[in-house]
Amino acid sequence: MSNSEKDWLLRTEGLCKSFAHEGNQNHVLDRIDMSLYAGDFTVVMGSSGSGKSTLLYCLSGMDRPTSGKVFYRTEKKPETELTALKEKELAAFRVYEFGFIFQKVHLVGNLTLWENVLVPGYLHSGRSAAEVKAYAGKLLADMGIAEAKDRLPSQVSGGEAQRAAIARAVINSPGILFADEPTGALNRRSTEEVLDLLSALNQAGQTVLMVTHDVRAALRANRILYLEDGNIGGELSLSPYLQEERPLCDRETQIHAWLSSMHW
Amino acid sequence: MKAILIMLRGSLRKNKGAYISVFALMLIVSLSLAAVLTLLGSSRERDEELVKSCGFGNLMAFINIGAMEEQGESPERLAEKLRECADLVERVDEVPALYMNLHALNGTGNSSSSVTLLEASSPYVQYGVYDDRNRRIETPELKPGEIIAPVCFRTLYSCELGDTLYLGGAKTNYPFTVVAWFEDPYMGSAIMGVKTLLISSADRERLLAESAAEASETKEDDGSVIKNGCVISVFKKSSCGLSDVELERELNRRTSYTGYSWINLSRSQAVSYMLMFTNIFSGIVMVFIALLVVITLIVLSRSIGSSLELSYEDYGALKAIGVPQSYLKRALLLAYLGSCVLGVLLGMGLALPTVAWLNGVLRPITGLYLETKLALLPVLLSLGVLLLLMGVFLSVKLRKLRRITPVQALRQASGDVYFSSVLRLPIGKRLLSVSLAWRQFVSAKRQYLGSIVITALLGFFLVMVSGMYLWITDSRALTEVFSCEDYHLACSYADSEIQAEIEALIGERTDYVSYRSGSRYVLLNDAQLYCYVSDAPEHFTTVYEGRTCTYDNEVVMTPFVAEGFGLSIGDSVELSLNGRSAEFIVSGLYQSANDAGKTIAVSAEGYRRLTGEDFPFNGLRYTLADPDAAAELGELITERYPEDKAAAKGYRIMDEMDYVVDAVAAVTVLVYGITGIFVMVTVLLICGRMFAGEQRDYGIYKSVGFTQLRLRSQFAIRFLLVSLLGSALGIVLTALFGDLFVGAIFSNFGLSNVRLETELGALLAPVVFTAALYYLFSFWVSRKIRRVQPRILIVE
Repeated sequence: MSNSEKDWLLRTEGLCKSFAHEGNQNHVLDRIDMSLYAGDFTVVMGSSGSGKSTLLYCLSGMDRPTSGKVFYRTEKKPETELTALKEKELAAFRVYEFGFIFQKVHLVGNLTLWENVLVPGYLHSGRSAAEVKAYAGKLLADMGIAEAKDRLPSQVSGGEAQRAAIARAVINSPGILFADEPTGALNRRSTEEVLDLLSALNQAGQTVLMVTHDVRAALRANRILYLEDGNIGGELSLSPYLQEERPLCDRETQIHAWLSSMHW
Repeated sequence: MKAILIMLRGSLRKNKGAYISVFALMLIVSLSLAAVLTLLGSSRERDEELVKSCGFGNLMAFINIGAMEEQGESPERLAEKLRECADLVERVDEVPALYMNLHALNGTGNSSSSVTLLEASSPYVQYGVYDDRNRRIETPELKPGEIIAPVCFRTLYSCELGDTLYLGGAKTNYPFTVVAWFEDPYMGSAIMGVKTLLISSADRERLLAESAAEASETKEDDGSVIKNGCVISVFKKSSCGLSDVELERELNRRTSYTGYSWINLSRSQAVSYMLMFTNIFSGIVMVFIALLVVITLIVLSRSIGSSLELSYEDYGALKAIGVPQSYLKRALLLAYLGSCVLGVLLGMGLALPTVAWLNGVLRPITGLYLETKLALLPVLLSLGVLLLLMGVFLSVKLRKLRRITPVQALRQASGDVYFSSVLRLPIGKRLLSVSLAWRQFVSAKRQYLGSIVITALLGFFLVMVSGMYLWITDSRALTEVFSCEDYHLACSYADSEIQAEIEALIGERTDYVSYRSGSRYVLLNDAQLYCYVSDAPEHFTTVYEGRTCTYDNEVVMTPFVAEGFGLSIGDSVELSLNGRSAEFIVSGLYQSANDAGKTIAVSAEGYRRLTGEDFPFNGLRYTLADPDAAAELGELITERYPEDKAAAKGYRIMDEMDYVVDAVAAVTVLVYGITGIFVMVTVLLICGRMFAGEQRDYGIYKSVGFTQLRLRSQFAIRFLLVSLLGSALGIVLTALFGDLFVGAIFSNFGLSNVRLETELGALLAPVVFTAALYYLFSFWVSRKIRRVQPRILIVE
């Protein structure tokens, strides 16, 4: 199915973000029109300083764009303009619709892994504490960290902490899972484990938007957007490769070739 | 030096909040300290200077000539006897005086206070005279009907210049217009029950003539009697090594002179009575200042600790590039000590207007016109010691800089959290904010330890002043303390018929028990003491050790008297009155604030045994089954019966004590106010630092959907918990040390066994006050959470 035939989940119209620096305006994002589709694993790549993370902030409502709009679609409401929401409404969106994974993990240091996962679950008004606990238990077991659940973040490995962070991000079954370089601070083994988890979640229907500069991480995506000079410079769809189940090395070669064409 | 200055500038920029807080705390401490030391120093200096220069000698005996003559003695003969003690006495003067009762002010009110009238033109009355703007003026030539009153009349009777005072009684009274105030260094304090007034020679002559006429009539005594008298003033010989009290005892032993007087006063006694209020006020404030110093040290310690934590990386980097540790230490020491010095300097500067204000507020109570100048030597000395203490403390605390090594600092700029606590409670969906706040508290207990101790100290003091306020506003407690008896209603009657009528009236309303009570001055080992006499000594309810004087050979006394005479329960002591003596056994210790605690008590039988006569009781005390009826009955009796027939008072025997209540209320408000400022500064300092260290967590909470309001409440709840824990500790401290502390403060009043009112109100008010302040201030500080966005979590 081509993108034009899919239902969009999140889209932007003329998204701009500028920063004033020594009297000059630095346009980090420049009139971006793009869409994310339900069930996609989208990766945003680009050179250093191209605005990848800024795009992630603006799409997820963590930052307000200078101009332009971001729309989000849910089953109940066909179109919500995120950029027009108040702080309290955005907070509710983070509870019910968005999950975040960060490069530096960012678990609350004085809560155990288990409690870190429970806390956002408890904010969900539609779930009882027992339901939250049951789902959190399942998630931690699925992520392979059930035994470490009562430890503090400082007492587990980076990989375990990041897996707990993923569990925290998906505890409320968000519409989109935003991941900002989630493997940036991990070793190779942990990186693979985390990427496997993200792939598994995506295969189970979770929409993922991940910012990365790691080609091996990008291999898990079905769509790659290349950010260049504040705009989408190119897009690569990996769906044919995934459907044809071609070897990973072929996909990697394809991505490298495409990135080269983008002057990566 | 340049390097240190650059680091100092950087530190001032980065930690300006901490330095401003330290500055503010030191400002409050030094301002209070300078003001109180000045008040204490200048009050004592002023009163001592006045009593030495005012014309009276080391000892004063107020003689009622009529009563003296009944005993076959005259002032001239007594003065002569005293002069014969030439080894002790330099000079003995007889100063003419009249004694009357102060009846009313501007035609209203009812007072039975005794006043001594002296001639304003007498060379013995070298008092300072002042106008209503507190400017010293020449003593005016008084016209007939004019009077000069002590300035404490403003407090005691709301009297102003131009008002009319009525001396005498209900039937016969003499109006006098108050034309000026004077500074009485002997009895000028509102705390003293007997007052001196200055009149013209013409009025003295007129009143003396009236006195003679009164004497020739045989009319009922309604209090209008004018008693002719004199003040015998004894000047100690410069070679006499005895103290004033010892001199009084020795002269008594030789001449029994105090047996003829109704009041005796030595210079040292006068000074101690006059300074009693100032001492109590200053004592409370000084203890509070001591607590504030401890709190300032805790805040300093916490501030240095968190400042080092937050700048760990910077200091590590500075060490890595070769900046010596001594430079870092000196820069920080300069910044902190500089803030302290600035606070102290401004505090000293502001102390002068504060002293001027305090002098104005306290003048009508202390009766002293103090100059507005700082007591420079004690102030400079104490503030110097304070700064030295701060310097040493800072120097010790800054030794922590040694522990920072470049590698450690750069590796562990933000340390991981490790903790294990039995206080760790599970996080629940219900009360999520409270459980998260508790977790934040439990996981970093040490950070909050300082705040808990600060709250405990402030709570301790708040509970104490609240307890003191409740105690002092409980009129029955105050009555009990000053009269040492328990009663609800006190009545005096013109005749037994009226007594029967009124007792019937009381009986209709409630059951009662009545007893008779009165007082006289007696001699104990030649020293004059105020002695309560009662026909029902079981009503001396302030006996706290031993038992009351049930038998006619028993006496109870205050611990002040017992210590002064080296007596304890079971000891024998000789009491004398009117030339008769009898031996008594000390049966118990009790409390009474009259005469600054220099009181004893005996039964009516005991008095009879001592004097051979019945005690001339003139009133009855009623203990009611329904104490609430007392006030109503008092009013009813006052309404129905003219005051020459019957006088009744419910509960309060001393309306004049209102100023003490007002003063304690003022101290309470002051303490609450300063506590508020301290809590604010402490919260701002500690919360600010804490907030800086927790920004990442707030980003995380926001990223998972926490709202600002929830996070701010969570932050404030943590400090609410800290405040509640601190307050609980404060209450424990009060339970352990409160009575001891209040006893020490009130020992000036002769009360060393004060029990604080620890009813719910006294405990709850400070707890709610500090908790509300902690919550509000920390909620206010947490407004910065608005600025924390989850994007701080994203690595660019």
